Amino acid sequence: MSLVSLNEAEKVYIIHGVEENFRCDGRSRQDYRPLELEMDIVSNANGSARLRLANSDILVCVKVEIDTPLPEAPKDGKVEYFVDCSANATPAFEGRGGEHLAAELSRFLSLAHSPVFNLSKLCIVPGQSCWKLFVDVLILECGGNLFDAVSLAAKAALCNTSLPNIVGTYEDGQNIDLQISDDPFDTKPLDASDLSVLVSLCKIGNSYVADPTIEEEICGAGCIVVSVTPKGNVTAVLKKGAGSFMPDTLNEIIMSGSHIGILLNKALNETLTQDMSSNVCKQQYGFLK
Amino acid sequence: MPTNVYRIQGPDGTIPYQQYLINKSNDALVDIATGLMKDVRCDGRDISTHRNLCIKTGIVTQAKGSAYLECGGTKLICSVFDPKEVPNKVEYAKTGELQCEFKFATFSCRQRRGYTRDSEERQLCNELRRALEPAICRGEFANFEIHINVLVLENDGSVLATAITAAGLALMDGCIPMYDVIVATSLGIYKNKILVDPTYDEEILCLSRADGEENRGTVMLAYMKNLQQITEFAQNGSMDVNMFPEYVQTLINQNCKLYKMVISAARKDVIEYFENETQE
Repeated sequence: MSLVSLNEAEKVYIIHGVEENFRCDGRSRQDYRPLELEMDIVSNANGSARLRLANSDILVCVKVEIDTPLPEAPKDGKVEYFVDCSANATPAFEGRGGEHLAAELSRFLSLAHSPVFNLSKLCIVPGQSCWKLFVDVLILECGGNLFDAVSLAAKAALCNTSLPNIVGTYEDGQNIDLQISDDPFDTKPLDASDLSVLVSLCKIGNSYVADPTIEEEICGAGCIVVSVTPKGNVTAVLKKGAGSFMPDTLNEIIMSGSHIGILLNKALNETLTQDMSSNVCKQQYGFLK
Repeated sequence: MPTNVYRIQGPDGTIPYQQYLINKSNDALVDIATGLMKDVRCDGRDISTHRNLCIKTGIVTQAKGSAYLECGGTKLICSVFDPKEVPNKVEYAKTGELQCEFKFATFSCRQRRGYTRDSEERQLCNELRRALEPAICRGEFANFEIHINVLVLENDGSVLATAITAAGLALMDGCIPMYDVIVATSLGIYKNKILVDPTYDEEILCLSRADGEENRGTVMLAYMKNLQQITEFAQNGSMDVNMFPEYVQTLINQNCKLYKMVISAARKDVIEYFENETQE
């Protein structure tokens, strides 16, 4: 994925460090790196968030549009995820290099969200019109653990999204005319607090670490990504890498993934409520920090 | 959307008629759900019984190894080709690569599928590759790649698990060195019921969105019995984390049963081969 190469001595150093529960950057096995989150930084989007997890930099923007619902689900809205791996992140993403990762990320994100995302909230007129959310994820810098960073940023951006209020609907035979409020502040927020976040656990040696760096990902035999809801339920599991797992290890990894996921969801919710309450005099940093 | 100009495309803007039968299919799902509460499945199986398998290896004469696998209504062909050098490759790779292709035939599902690969097929292809990678002795053919193609002829649920088992058989038939036989099973979870090897309708029921806090979804596990290693684990739907050990144990038990069948099929092939040789 990235142009990092390690020699044998460096790998042994990382693996021994993980065994001692003391990683290269001083963390223990279950710790995350510092996270920075900034909301509402793209003015043209209905919701946006920028997340920085150590060196991984993710920008997520949500745009809403009006669409007709699918015939098999007339009372549901639609969500679509697009991930774009910018060539700025790493030269490996140049050209079509990041396409594979981007497809996997967007597919897994939609799988992880679909069991908990209540799409009926996006309905306007059943069978006629609904909101469609375009969740665009842009990977600006790649510092390992993309799955976690992308899911946190996507959840934050969806929580930040607000839908324009519909003032009235006029039925004219088959056609329905929607009148949408022209005041940009006359909106209602989208409730996305039930969505899941992804937790990657990388197996290194006989133990596993949360939030692996690129170097640790290279040393690891395999990685399990668990999607966890705020209540600790698991909505999707994915295996990365060429390794295999013993049944007991797998159970243990999923258990601790769920535990970490609850804490991560809680931390994100706290940050979001804090952000909402201090909305008046917020200093914007944007990309210049 | 890229289109293939060499094929005749269907007319634009047609709608599959099944979409007009939504009420009926919803009724069918309710029937399945009420049946399950009484431990009765729509095809009369017990809740923890796998569907019958039909295993046939060596059916594609052009390929190095191939297998045809039928698991109830799910039918698929898998073929494996000789290791060959990776074209346009500069770096030397210490381990061989797997190139998988997973394709649903256009007529295999209820709704017609396109010729181009969609995101579901890409995801299944990734999962197939990840399931097989740990099982194959990739160090034996450094800098080479193996092509594994799966074509689904009919989809009646548990298609990925069936594909992984078929790929394991095809690799065995193609004499590709492997650490162990690989088999896979899937489970459908609906409330507190664990359905082994769900059919297409049962999968739809299990993947429908739950209103409350109940377990729903599918779990798939690929397993190497002798090494006791899980090579791939995929789960969808929402479920309680404390239930996972039970699901994993059920899947492993089922895989051990499947392993015996696969081994007996492989043994029969070997005996047949030697019988033919002595006759000549």
